[in-house]
Amino acid sequence: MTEQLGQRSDAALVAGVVQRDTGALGEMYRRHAGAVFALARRLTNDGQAAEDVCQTVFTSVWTSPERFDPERGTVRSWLLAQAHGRAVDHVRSELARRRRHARDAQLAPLAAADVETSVQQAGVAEDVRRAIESLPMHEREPVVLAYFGGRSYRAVAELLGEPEGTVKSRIRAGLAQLRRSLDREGVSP
Amino acid sequence: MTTTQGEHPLDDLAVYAVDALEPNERATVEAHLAGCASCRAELAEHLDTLARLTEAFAPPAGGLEQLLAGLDAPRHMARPTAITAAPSAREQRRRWMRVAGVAAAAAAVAAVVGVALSSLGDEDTDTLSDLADEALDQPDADVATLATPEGANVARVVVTDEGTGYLFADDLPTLAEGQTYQLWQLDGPAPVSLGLVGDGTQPVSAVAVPAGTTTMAISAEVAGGVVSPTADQIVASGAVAR
Repeated sequence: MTEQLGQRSDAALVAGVVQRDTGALGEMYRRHAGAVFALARRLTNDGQAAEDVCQTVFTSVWTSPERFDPERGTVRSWLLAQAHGRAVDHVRSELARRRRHARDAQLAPLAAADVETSVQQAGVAEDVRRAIESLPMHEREPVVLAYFGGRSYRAVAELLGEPEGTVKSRIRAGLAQLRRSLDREGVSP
Repeated sequence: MTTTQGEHPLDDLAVYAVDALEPNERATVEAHLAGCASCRAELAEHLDTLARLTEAFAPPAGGLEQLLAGLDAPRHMARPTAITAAPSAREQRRRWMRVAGVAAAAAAVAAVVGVALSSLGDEDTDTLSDLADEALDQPDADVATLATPEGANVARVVVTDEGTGYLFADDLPTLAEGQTYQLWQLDGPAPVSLGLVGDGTQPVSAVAVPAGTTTMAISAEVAGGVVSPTADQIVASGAVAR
């Protein structure tokens, strides 16, 4: 039974979860929870918060497996996208809370420094870092601030002093460039 | 400046993929995605690119056991069919509604008080509490206050637009070992489990709440939960005050 689970595709595991098979959920967890947790911790910089995000993501897989849409990507990218969204919610509510308590004068660090530390502290693999660093700065900044920094495009525009529309199109161009860089570095999913 | 090709919001789609859109724009993109296969493919490509930024790691220790323990009662178990002595579904529902009805009137008033009190909460509790407080702070939050048949408010459930519910175990008695609280939706013909919510010691639990849920109840059950609530183990109930 376990051997069979191990051989099933990710999509077949989702189908198993739809059939209320906890074994399929467990196998999905074994395959992907580490990455889900790592991404959440990278964003929140908080192990407990990351564990909560991880549990929430897999609990929602159990309650709503039908939300998986193979046309929008793989199971892995679906899980990571959910983790990212929830971690961003956490980061923004933390920021809002700190702003409410107004003790933190350092809410808007210099953008360039912020980009460097985001990537360095995030503990990304060496080849991934090279791919990110190969982006031109005007694309790297908005992508990193949004994806690793959890900031909205408006916040990014404010931080960089660029028009909002410019930030949006640079995020798109940056993602396309990043894809090519990852290919070049041989980083597989 | 924002690029769209024909009808396709290509820039917004990329910003959506990194979770950086404003909520109203996100809704617009999601509506477009629902009817546009080429944008779904484009999104898949963005999400794949982003997924490659994260390596595979070993899962957190003990996480799977905790996950499985937190799931609601296994739904693949057949719903209990009527045993001769058991009350009919209609009778059971009537019984549930009676208990719920008592609490519902108190709920509307209590919800307002509950919101006011919660803003005085502890600042450095865990992140689940933060998310729950955040949900409670929304001006249009849907909150159900659950009261005992005697009228004591013992718990609140706040439901977000995304269908996440947070149960605040404000004044739930701590259960004996081997028991758990279970949350139920009472709007359909039979109670539906919304999940296990601890033994009264954890201040906040997260549950998934289906859209349209208004009436809820909490019961004390054996650890692991049950498929259908034990009628005399209902602790409190209430309805969403809007």
